[in-house]
Amino acid sequence: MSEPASQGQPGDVEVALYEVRKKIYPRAVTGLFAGWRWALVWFTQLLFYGLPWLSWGDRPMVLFDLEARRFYLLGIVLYPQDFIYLTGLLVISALSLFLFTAVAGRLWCGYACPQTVYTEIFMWVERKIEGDRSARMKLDKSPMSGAKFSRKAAKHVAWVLIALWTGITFVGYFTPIRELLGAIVTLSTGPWQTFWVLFYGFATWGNAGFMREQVCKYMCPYARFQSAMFDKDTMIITYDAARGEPRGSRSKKADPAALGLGACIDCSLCVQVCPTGIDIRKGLQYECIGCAACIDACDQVMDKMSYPRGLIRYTTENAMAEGLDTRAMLRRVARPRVLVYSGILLAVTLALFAHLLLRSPIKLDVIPDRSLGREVEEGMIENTYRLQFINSSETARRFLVKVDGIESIFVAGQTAFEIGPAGVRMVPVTVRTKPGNGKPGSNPIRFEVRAEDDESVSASAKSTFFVPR
Amino acid sequence: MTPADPKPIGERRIGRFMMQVLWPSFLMAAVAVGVFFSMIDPQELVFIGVHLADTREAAYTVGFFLFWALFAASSALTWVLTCGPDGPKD
Repeated sequence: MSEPASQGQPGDVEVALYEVRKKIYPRAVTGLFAGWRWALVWFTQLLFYGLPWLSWGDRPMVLFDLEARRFYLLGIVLYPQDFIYLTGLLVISALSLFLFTAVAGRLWCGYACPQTVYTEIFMWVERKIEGDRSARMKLDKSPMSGAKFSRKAAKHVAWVLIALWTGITFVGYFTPIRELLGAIVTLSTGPWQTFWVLFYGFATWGNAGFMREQVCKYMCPYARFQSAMFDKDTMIITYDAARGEPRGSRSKKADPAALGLGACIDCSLCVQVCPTGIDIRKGLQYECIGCAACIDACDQVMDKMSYPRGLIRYTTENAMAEGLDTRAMLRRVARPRVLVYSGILLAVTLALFAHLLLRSPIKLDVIPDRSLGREVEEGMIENTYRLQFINSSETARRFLVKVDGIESIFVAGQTAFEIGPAGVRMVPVTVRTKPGNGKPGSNPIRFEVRAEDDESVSASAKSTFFVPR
Repeated sequence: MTPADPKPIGERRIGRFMMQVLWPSFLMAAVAVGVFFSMIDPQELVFIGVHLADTREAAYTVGFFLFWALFAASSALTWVLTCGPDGPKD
């Protein structure tokens, strides 16, 4: 879970499992990779906050209607029976993660993970209200005062508003968001809606406001097994020690070679901008989320010193060892591991979409009645069934039911049924055959339904016909 | 946690417990509730002759917390069995 606990409870014993965490005050950073990160913040959040507002005809474009057990996605209606698609989507997500990790390490973590994205948004708010890194540190050290309290309060008000809106948006995927907002305005939301808005909002506030890098360090399973997808050609954020050491401060005009110094001027900016508070110059650590803030910071310093950029850069173990240039390093991206990941990913994606596009808009389930076959007038044998139709198209349809499997078997009584758009209907169906057909006991039969207006829309289901001995 | 608090949540036992027991079980509960209710409609669930759910949403939420509690119990047992009541040393 993710909420910050209340004040330390009495009797809390500290277990020295890790070094005690100091609160991290990341310094603001600008540059190429920070730009990419903000681009992804905008992209992912426009998607997340925007999707529930889009309509498709007269209904929301994306709606997980749990109450009616239907999922609407663009023009597609999915039922619980279509759970396989969600599984497929999860497989695709996992494979994508493997692929990105193999190519360039923790791209997901550094740029697109909600934890990173919301932390970025919350830190921006913090910066606007409490000031930059040194101002924030000073503020936290200072005793409580009216000015300090009002700043802190303003920050939390802004955070809570963002968190609440996030919670409302989340629930807006399950309840049409305009209805939800109407209900919120009139304070008439259902208990579960209220609960989930607050729960999700609280998790956002706790994770992005307080937990931050601790989520990545202690809670994220991916962080623990990411190394399994790394190899010596994976691009990771690397400090070029050969070029940087021995580090030391010097004047801008000095010739580092004459002073016996490397390119690192030991300004510690790379440490100050790091959201997880590590020193990248000690080599890759598991805490590094691959956000590349240190690259941006260091490149700016290198520019100021008129040294070439790239003292800290995305590079691979092999490139460092063999002194490969960028082009030679990029050529190694197309290696077996990456090609296999890509191939499987492509195959699964294609299979999923093909299956989704080709699926029949009608589903049929047959539930035999528990009363076994019986004899009716003229010695006919009769079995009854309940047929469940699921119409996942957006048009109302009329279906004709047929049955085969035993000689002269037929549907007695009603054979045509209306099903509304995106409707589910359970109908009783009676099946008869003349005496002497079928063997005593169970006989396999098959039901087939066809749309009256479109022969190609059909579905079939197997069942058994019982002949009394 | 407030900024004045010397020990951030991640360093305290309660925090460890949340991160190592409640969090993994939360993830699994989300998966389990999805699988379970995609196969079973809560309105068809009859539990000892009682219809549990007045609405499906209530059933989903209650189901989610039941799964969470079960999985948390499992994780907590692991936690305790690994290294005693203080939880894992790393």
